[in-house]
Amino acid sequence: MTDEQIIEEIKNGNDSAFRELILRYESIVAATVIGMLGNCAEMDDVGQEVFIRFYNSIDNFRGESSVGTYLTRIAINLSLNELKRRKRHNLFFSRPSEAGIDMADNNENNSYHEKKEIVHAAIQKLNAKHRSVIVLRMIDGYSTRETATILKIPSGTVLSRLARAQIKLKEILAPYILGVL
Amino acid sequence: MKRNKNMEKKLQKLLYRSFDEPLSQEEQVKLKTALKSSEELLREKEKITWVRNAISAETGQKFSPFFADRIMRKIRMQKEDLAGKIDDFNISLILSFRKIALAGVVTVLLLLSTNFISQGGLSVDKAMALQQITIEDTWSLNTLISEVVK
Repeated sequence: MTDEQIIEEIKNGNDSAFRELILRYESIVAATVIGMLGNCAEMDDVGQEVFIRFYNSIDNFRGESSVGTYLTRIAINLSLNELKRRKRHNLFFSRPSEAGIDMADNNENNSYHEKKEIVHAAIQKLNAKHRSVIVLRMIDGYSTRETATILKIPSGTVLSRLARAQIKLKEILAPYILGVL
Repeated sequence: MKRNKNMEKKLQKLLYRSFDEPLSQEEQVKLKTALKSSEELLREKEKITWVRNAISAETGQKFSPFFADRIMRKIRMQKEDLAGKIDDFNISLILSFRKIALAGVVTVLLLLSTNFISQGGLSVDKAMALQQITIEDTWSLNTLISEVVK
């Protein structure tokens, strides 16, 4: 079944078609939400909310963008909301580092952590603006133009944010890069 | 010295852009030449490639098991909740309408019984407090004046 057919079925009240859509797009939404928030308790709730919002606004979906892009846009917006909520929360209740990994410790204990975890922690060290372009462009694999459309910013801004984010990541990951190169 | 720094920055910018956008023919040649002559720029390219490859490997993320089932359950609950809210509204509407209807019936009965007691009957004229008058009476000027004077 194509995405269009699935959407039509959902609009006609076929809930099992919606289940099919969830299975089809779970990994895309997961990559975005986990990329933005990290492996945390809230990731599942945000992921569920993405699909529920889509379900509730299915009648407004006109197919101008693909289902994946539409879901990614919701996922990015909800993740940014969650990051704002965390920031507000951290103002009142001090919380240990979000990433949960101290990069200085890693320097001495490289073998202990997987490369994946280290990179994941490095992404979490970026601010929300830089993180969103990195997640969309490099993890989700959207083009610069698609990333700009999802974030509703000019392509030039995407490129400059990408460059700054990569410089920052390069700095954070310097001990590991030097070890490999 | 300053000019060299600016050139370096421009080339670095071009290098970063080359990963995300197709460069023009001229830009490609410029970058290629720069990469051949600058060890530093080449090293920068290797570092960025490492970072990008490492991040791109961050795919294949999954939510916890039974993710779809949990969403479907939530949607079912949402629908039931909505249906429950509509039912609650209908019931409260019927109950409040019943009260209003009952109050209306009681008022009409009270008016009729008051009328019955004071007028001694329940004819339409008595109920509406109308007198038996003829058409001539109605149009008679004297009657009209006397009524006004009264």
